Amino acid sequence: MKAFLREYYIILIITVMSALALCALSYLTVLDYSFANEEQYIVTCNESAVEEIETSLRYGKRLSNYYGIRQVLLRSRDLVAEGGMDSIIVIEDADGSVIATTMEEDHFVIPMSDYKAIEQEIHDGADNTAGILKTYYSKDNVVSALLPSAVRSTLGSLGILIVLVIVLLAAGVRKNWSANRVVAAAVAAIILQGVFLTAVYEQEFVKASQKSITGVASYIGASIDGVLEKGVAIDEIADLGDYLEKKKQENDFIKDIYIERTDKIPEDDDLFAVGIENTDSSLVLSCRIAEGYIRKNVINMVLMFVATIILAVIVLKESLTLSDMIAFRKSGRFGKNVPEQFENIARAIRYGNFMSLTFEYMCLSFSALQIKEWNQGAWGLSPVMAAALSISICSIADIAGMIAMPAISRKINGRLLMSISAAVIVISNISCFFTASTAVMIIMRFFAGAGAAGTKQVRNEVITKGCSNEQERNSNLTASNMGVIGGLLCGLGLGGVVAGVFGYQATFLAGGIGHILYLLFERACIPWDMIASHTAASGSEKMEKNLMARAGHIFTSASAWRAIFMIVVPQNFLLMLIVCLIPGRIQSLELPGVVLTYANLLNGMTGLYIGEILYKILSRRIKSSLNIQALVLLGGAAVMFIMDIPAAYSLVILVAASLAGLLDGIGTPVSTDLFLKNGAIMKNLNGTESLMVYSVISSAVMAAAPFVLELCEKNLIWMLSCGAVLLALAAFLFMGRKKAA
Amino acid sequence: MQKNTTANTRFRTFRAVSVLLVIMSLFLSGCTGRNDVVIDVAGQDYEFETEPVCRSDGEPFRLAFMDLGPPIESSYLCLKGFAEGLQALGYISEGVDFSKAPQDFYEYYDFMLSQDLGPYVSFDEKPYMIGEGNDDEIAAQLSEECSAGRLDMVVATGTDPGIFLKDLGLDIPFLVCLATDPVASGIIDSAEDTGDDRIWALVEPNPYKRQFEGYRNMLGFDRLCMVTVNGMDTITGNPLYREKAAELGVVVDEINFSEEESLKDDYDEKIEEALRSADLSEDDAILFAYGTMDDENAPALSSFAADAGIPSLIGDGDSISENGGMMCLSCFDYEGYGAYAAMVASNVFHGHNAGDQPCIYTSSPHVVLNMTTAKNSGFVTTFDLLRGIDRIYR
Repeated sequence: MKAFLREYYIILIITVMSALALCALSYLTVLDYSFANEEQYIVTCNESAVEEIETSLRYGKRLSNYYGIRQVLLRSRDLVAEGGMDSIIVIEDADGSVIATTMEEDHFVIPMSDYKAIEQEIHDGADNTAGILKTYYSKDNVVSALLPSAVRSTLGSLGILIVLVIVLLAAGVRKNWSANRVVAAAVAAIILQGVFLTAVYEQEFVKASQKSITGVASYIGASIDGVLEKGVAIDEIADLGDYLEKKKQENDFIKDIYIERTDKIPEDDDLFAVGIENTDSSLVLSCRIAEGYIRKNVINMVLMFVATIILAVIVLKESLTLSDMIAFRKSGRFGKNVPEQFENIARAIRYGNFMSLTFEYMCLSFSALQIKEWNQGAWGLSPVMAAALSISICSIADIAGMIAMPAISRKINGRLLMSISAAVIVISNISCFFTASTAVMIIMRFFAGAGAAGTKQVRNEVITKGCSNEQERNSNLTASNMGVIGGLLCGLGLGGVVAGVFGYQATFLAGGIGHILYLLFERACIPWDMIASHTAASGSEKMEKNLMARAGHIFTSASAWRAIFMIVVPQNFLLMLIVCLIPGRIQSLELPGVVLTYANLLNGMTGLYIGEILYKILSRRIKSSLNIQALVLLGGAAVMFIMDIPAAYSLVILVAASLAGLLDGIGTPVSTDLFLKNGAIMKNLNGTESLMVYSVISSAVMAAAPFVLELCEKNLIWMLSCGAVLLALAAFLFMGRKKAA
Repeated sequence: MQKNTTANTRFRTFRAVSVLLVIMSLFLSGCTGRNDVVIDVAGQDYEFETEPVCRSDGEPFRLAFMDLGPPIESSYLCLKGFAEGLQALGYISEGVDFSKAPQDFYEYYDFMLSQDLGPYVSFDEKPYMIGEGNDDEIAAQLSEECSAGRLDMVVATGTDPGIFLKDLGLDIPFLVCLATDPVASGIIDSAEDTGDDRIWALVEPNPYKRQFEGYRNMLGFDRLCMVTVNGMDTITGNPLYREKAAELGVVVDEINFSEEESLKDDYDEKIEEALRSADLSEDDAILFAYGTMDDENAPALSSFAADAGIPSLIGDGDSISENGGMMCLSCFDYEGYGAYAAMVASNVFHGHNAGDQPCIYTSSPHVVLNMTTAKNSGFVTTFDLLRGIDRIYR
């Protein structure tokens, strides 16, 4: 049994983490849904306050001399409280100065761990934004309502995991199950958990909608009563139907809302009726709950479960090699020039990249979101600009770091550089977790970028030095790319879950801890001494000085320019399709968010698994790498051409995303290989330096590509033109190969 | 030797890294609580001390209320706003249920006196109404009350009471919370400087222009018939209507009467006759400026307009709408004036000079509608419009 556990403990740990992620995800989905409903209710309740203030502003009043505005806010707060929600309402002017609040005190702190905020703009007569009404509502009400289901789902999930362990110990150990069978059992358990969680939380969707619809119906009923109270007969309200329709549009959980004359309200769980008081007849305001909206949200949750399960499978699959690597590390062959060692280096590169990218991308975008949430600028920059800077400074540090790293790596060995880089990332991330300052966040993101450049430098060294022939180097390149694809995919997915459960800053803590694990893994599983001896033995390291001059020299070669502009640039441009073009397309077509999730997922999976297989097949069948690259560019052109098909939008997006994933999986190792083999590059740079230059060019293309892809998304001519350019480049590559032959 | 060099390089590298890590760690020392929103109320143009206080001897402040008799609706609304404003600030006990108070000036005042207002304020036994009897007696009575220390403040509504109090030269502060133009009438020197520490008067900026724009926003007219009377420009606001109409590009067809004509007995018939002979086919509404439509002629004039399918708009006076005028949008928020005067009073109770308090107050609109006339005029009463209307008449 011990041997079984030793072999599969990684799978068990990942299964437990996946189960936890599913629990968190299901809870978060329902929580989000409940909050969204509450917010729609608050917006409806605040409607009269907003109207009252806007009317006064239209008639010449200003917020700065709107004495008594607090009374307006208090009335709104009381309305919100009727729905069982505590709130603090704050009104700010256009400059962000607080004019009035519903609190007695002039200075107070709202703990955002207990509150959520919703903002409504206040407009003046010229329709300019005169101020913002911010409602901070207590999360407690929603959270406590969900607590029983959260406990039930946790206990149920725990039960499923215990059953899984029992099955594995009883059947797995006795019948000596293979790794695939253990993974299958783990996946089956997670799927079972998903079904269980769906059953538990489905009722919560219904309850949340029922609660909100009751509140909205009461509010609308009270509003109508308020008008009737003035002595208006109901049929004198000219556009009551339009008003009710507007309320329906504002509140997704309402399917239908109408006023009817009835003596008896029908017994129906989906119907909520409020009597209209100030009439001489039995008028009733009836609201019918939108079952379709609830169903849509449940389906959305299930789709998110499936996506999470797929991510869990990817993590499981990637981690399957970990036990083997650890076993090899303990064997006497570790660090020796034996074929198994080089196989294990490729595995370690893949898994190391997978870990590094997962933890890097887990927190990459959240600095901007956190700064926006703080609404705090730095060094005179507005919060929005500071948020953008926190992202771009990371890339700038990455590029600058990559240029500087070869010089640094001449001074210190790979293991030390990797350790320092990882330590810098860990400290930066932990600082980002603790800080409440935008300036500190931006500075720390700079250090994180510099640290990432260090890890890339070491990775490049391991790729080029951790091989004994060209085939092994190609294996290392492929493994590196696969690790990157897998890490990107899992990092973005897991980051969303961590940010959703624990807040944006928690992603930095998770990223920091992850990089500690990465550091331990790299130190343990990479044969540093062997790589150092390979470095010392390779003559290429003798021409390490004057890197900038040598790198500059390659740009005097026409063949290097051809490699850059016909291979590296288009390949990296294609990598950005999933980052810019496809999300933009989904947004402009107003497709549901789940389409983006699945587009990312399919992109990653096809790149990671099918791309790898296809690359191997194509490498065997097509002798020239240029032809393979030409095929990749043809595929890229196809993506550009199919994107604007005016039918089955979601399907087209998913097909395009899958194709883009394939192009990444096949094209990246091919283009890297072609670049490294270029005569001018080989002559001037060693392998590590070539990879560094490749990375810098890639980063530059990735920085510029969003602008072009934005134009493609907005304008069909740009899209088709880009497709045509890719087509032309493919033709040139193909013709160039024939000429060379 | 080579080993030593390597060791030195490593040492230097470690030293550099250590310095880097220490610098980075220093940032951690600046860390504070996360995800908290700090709210600092910057406040408004002027801050009021709203904590209720008693007199220094522990007794409640004694207030007198003065108006020009007989009281009109605006007097009642000001009094109501003032009393309820004091209650909102905590000067009047929460237990007093003003929703049960009658909607009449005298009855409302009596209701207040019948209640236990609490320890902070009390009102004199009767409101002081000038113009109804012997004003000299009122002056003597007020002077006596003041010199005996039985009165702490006078709150007045109307231009005449304001001038009366100023001429009386009492030692106590007085607040004029309703006067058409307290600067032009000489109650105060200007909105920025009242010219007397004891005197405060509310100044409403551009009420007529804002009223005209309000009507335009509500009805969306491009061409308007305006019935006006010459003279009394300060009260009627006619030049300001014309100015605003020109700014908004509204074409105005004016039916104008002289002040002499307006004083004659056949004035009402003349207005009706002028309307009948005018070509109103292009007009989207008729605005009856101050001094043209009143409680008496309102039924006839509004019916005429309604029959022609034209909304009749009123310069000022809810009661005119009650008598038939389709709508009265007033930028004189009388109730709001009273509530604002309560805040000013609080500052005075805290020891500030009345004359130092901010005079400018911009009203929220006060709108009343006559539903019968609206229906007859074919005016569409939407839900949003009805919600914003303060009172409906039939």
